[in-house]
Amino acid sequence: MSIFLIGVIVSILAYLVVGLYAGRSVKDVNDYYVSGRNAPTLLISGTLFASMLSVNGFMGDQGFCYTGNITSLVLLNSLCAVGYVVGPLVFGRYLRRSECTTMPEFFGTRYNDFRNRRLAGIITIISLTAYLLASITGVGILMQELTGFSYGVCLFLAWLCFTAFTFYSGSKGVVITDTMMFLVFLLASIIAGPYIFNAQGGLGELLTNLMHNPNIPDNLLDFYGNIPGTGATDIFGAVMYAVSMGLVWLITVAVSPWQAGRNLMAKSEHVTFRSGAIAAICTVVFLLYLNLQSITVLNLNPNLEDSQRVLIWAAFNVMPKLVGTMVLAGIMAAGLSSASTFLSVVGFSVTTDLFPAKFTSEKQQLRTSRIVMLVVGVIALILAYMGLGGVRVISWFASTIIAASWVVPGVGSVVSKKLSATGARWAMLAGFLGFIIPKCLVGFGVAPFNSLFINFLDPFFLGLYFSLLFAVIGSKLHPVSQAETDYRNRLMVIPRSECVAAEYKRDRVYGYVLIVAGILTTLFLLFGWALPYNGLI
Amino acid sequence: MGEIIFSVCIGGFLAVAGILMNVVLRREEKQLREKNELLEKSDNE
Repeated sequence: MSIFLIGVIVSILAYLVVGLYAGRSVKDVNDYYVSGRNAPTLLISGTLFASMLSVNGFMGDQGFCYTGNITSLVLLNSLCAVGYVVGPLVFGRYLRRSECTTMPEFFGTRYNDFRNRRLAGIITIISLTAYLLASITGVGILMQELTGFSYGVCLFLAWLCFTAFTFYSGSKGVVITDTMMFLVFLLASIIAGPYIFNAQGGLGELLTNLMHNPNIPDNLLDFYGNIPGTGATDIFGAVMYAVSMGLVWLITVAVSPWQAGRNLMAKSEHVTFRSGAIAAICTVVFLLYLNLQSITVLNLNPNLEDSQRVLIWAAFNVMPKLVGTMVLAGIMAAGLSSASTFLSVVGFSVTTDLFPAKFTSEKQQLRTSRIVMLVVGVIALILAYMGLGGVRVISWFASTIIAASWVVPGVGSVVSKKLSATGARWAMLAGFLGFIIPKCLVGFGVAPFNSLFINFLDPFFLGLYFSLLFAVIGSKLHPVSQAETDYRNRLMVIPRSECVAAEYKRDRVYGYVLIVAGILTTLFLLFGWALPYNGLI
Repeated sequence: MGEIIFSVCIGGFLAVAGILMNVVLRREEKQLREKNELLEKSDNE
């Protein structure tokens, strides 16, 4: 049995034990759905970042860097990071204040209409099931490569790991294991970095070596990156790709249920601000560090057949076996953490958001929730085994569709006094259809849409524009009711428990850390790349 | 030149987010403090 296989098995067992142990403290529905609403900053930031970074973050994104688009990805990530800070300020804190257990419930309660909740629930289930399938498939394929077991066995092992504790422990288990997985891949990547950099002379020599390397992709070191890699034909198009995708992800982390929904579990509103700040720093600094590792491999092996395997290649060929095992376990952890989050969010929505269920007791609701979670998990396993996780059309639902659909009713629920239940519902539906229909036209290569729907006419933005339009029409035809106004007014009142001066002071420390991290990042890029690359120092 | 602007933007987004967070929370804290002082005054009167 190889050390890589042992590492994978040990890490899976560790997640299982910790996840199941966390389930022992689940006493009621609040514990199961929103982790008792007492998760501290570390757990919320851990689950935020871990659920965002899936196997794709360590494979697809790193392949994108290796093939010449590190600058596109860094720009995209830096915009995405802003969403982590802005999201809790304009939406997440109000979501938490509502004391709902799911985001669809928030839409139903805020707009005083169960139809809004049901529609949000349906969108959640469709979109996150697709995401879940993609995650399970990614972990299954990765595990197959690492262990040599058959795909079916690997799929089952991965599924068993995250379904067992998600089913039994709900959010309690998910946030703890997410944080554990976050720490595993964070630590593994930090330790791995020096080995990869030193293998080609150290981090200080990276730029020089790349500049003298004839085998690097075109424009790797230019600010706009490899133009064809972004699907553009000129510099402006390449930059616009990164900017528009960055804005898409900014909105996604601010309002989607698998990101903003984490705020429901926070101990206080202050925790949501601080967790957002940590997640933002990780998104810029940690991912930049990871991306640099990927392009360093160009100096070691510029001819990888499958660019997505760049970090896996480094784990096998550059690092000591123990460090390589940690990295591989870290990549697996990234996939498992996303899968557990998606399964839990889908399971909660299936149980409560589709039909106005009446439970005789909390115990009965908890039991039903667990059964539904298990059933959803089994269905996901069957669908993944059938290969649906790799189907192209399914992957379109597993993208940022939910953010295009929810940003108007979500942010509008806080900032707008005029957005009504009908406007919000129509906005949600228009955003969903306005995204998926153009996405299909683009995806199937239907001319002229495939070349027309790019940048700020990307299907995401089209969904957003339609969503805004129908929000206005719906609210004009069916104005806001008194009950909606009253609820919104209550939502605007800061709870007394949040009004603690010392807490605000601590929040501001996180704000200052963000500023310092930003300045240091700029200095690092300036003196490590921009100035020497342009021959200015 | 593009690389220099790019570098400033990458860290700049993070820094601006931090400034925004502090401005919003500072204003909120100030409002709360003023509200509490008013309440205390009215209680004393």
